[in-house]
Amino acid sequence: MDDRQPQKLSTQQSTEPQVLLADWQALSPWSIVSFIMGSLKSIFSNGYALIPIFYAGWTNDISVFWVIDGAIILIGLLTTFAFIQWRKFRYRISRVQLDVKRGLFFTKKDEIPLNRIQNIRLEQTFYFKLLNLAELVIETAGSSKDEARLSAIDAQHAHALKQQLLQLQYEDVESSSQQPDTDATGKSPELTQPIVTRSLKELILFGFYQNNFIWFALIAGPIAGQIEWEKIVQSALFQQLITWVNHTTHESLMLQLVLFVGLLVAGYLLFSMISIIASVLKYYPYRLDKRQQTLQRSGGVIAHQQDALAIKRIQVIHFHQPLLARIVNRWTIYLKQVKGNEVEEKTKQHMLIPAVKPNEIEQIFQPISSLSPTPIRLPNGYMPINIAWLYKRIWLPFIPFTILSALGLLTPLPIEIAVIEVAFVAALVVSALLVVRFKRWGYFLQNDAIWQHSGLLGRHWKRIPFEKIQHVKIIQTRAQKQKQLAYLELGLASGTIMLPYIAIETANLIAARAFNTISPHYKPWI
Amino acid sequence: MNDIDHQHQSLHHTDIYQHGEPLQPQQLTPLTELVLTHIDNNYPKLQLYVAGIVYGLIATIVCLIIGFIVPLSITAKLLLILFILITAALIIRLTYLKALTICYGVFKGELIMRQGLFWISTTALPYTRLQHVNLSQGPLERQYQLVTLKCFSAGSGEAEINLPGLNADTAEHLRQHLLHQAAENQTTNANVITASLDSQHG
Repeated sequence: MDDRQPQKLSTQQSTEPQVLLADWQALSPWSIVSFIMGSLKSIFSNGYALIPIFYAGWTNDISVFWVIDGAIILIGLLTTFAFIQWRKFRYRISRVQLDVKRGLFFTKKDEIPLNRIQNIRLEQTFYFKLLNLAELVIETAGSSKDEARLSAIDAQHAHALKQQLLQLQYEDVESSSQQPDTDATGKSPELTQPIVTRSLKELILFGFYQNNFIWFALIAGPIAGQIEWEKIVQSALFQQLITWVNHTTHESLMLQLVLFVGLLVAGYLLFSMISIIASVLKYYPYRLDKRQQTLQRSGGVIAHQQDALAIKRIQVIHFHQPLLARIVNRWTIYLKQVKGNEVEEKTKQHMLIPAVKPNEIEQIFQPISSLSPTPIRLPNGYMPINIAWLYKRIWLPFIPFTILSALGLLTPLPIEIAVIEVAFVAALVVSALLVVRFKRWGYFLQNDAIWQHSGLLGRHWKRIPFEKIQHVKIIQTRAQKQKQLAYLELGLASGTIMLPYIAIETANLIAARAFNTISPHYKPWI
Repeated sequence: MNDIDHQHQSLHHTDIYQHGEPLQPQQLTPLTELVLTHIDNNYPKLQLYVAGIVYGLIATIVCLIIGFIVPLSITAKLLLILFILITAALIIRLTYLKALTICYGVFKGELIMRQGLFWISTTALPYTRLQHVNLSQGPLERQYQLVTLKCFSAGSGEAEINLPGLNADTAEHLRQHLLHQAAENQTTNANVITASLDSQHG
């Protein structure tokens, strides 16, 4: 990487001397606002844990004044902390690294080498937009813990900083902060053709198919635990409701069922609405640009975000189609990057392309030619894995049923028939799901990449380029060896990918193609 | 020419070697069949001792608890104790056998490691994807001059190759070799970057 430095010097010389901040810099006092907001956000995003507390407080008639006092104390504390944070925060950027120093009692100094920077997000919250300020979030190798935030920076300056941190050519910095050039490479971001944009309608669609009930359950769980169901059932309102239901449905079971299903659908739609609103707020107006060797996504209603990602950091392209998306035939494309050591992958959510039609895929990836020399489009079919995968698993769900019936028949233990029936039905359902899962397993082999297909109700296609593979692992049991089958594990910087029960020749072929691509010469891949 | 003809005539049949048909690509040894080197003999022994002590202690404690505390008939107790002892012996035996299976190979382009008793896994890590190498030695390993070699690639926090039971000298050689390979890669890397910059300017 050092070889780049002289090049930069010669191209830079007189263009943008103010971009380099070799001395320790303080942030603008406005950053106090964003520090406060940051703490508030982290409190509220863990807020569903507080709901039971509020509920308990509400039922126990805590005075409003207490709440107001509490809020004032909270804001006061946060402001003090934010002030200290601002006073102690210093950063500087040299040619090779970004240094950030912070902390009152325990001074923490981060040194981030520029070539380790994974993502840079330029975020403009609505109140910063008015002040023409922006916040830069710098993520290194996918770890959320070690990210650095430079808040309340002048927007123009933030743009320039972003370019520099991404080690782009200086001509680009110059043109993006000044007037657009006639030169093809030096166009301002407003004038370049975006790779992909998403309309409001498509984002609504995305919100609709992407939602899942898990979130609902997460929020509803603690609340439901707090409610005293017995009291509700005995309450006059509920009794009235029951009578109303019985009256309107004329006590017919069919109509009651319809009502129940209707309520469920209504609940689901309500939940979809939340998801849709979240999607629109986060992504609208969605736009993905390619500038130099980076991809930049921008969008967001309340906080305008601009994420930048170096193209070479993209490892696996993951196409996901949830169950609902199958109806509308849309895919979500995730650009998977180098994984951090943390469990929570924060970068995962940032680089995605929502609601893509299958025929749009080729166009989207055409400008990003460094990802693949050949056009990227979803394969039409896939080779299935060996049926032995299913044989090995299909009988497992029947174990509880077998044990229960054996105990019921052979021992005097009191086991009810109903329990055995439930176990049998559950076993049938699980084995049916296993069959579906088996049907979805497969792979598609190309000269420069291998595709993995999997899924249960939704579908996943993962494109694994051979040049990004880090290690290959072939796992065989003795039985598999006899049947000429193997598990193949492909290790990538974004995680490992497994192909179970494929023919050993295929596994060897994939391994051979991977090694022929990566072993002979070194090429930076992350 | 005459000399050569003369030599040809005087050839014995042992002087001619029949190479046979050249090997087809399909006949080359696949990854899973490569002949690899076993690790130091002391490592399985060490594993046997450690497992013997640990599982032996656990089994003894459980047996004592059953013998004195759990209210059961004598026969039930004896059967249970017998079962526990057999299980412990089996686990110790399997630990030893598993340690015996570990082997590795240093090839031109990659490091290969194979291990496993029931699930036999063969891992290949090309030198071009090696991020860092780590040698470690625990107190017990020090007694036997053994070293664990860990090879890391990017992304995941855990080692792609975790090769225990290397002889200390071998491990040091291996580490030197891997570092040399990595350094070679880095120099070619730098060349590639300058080349790409040149092409951009040109």
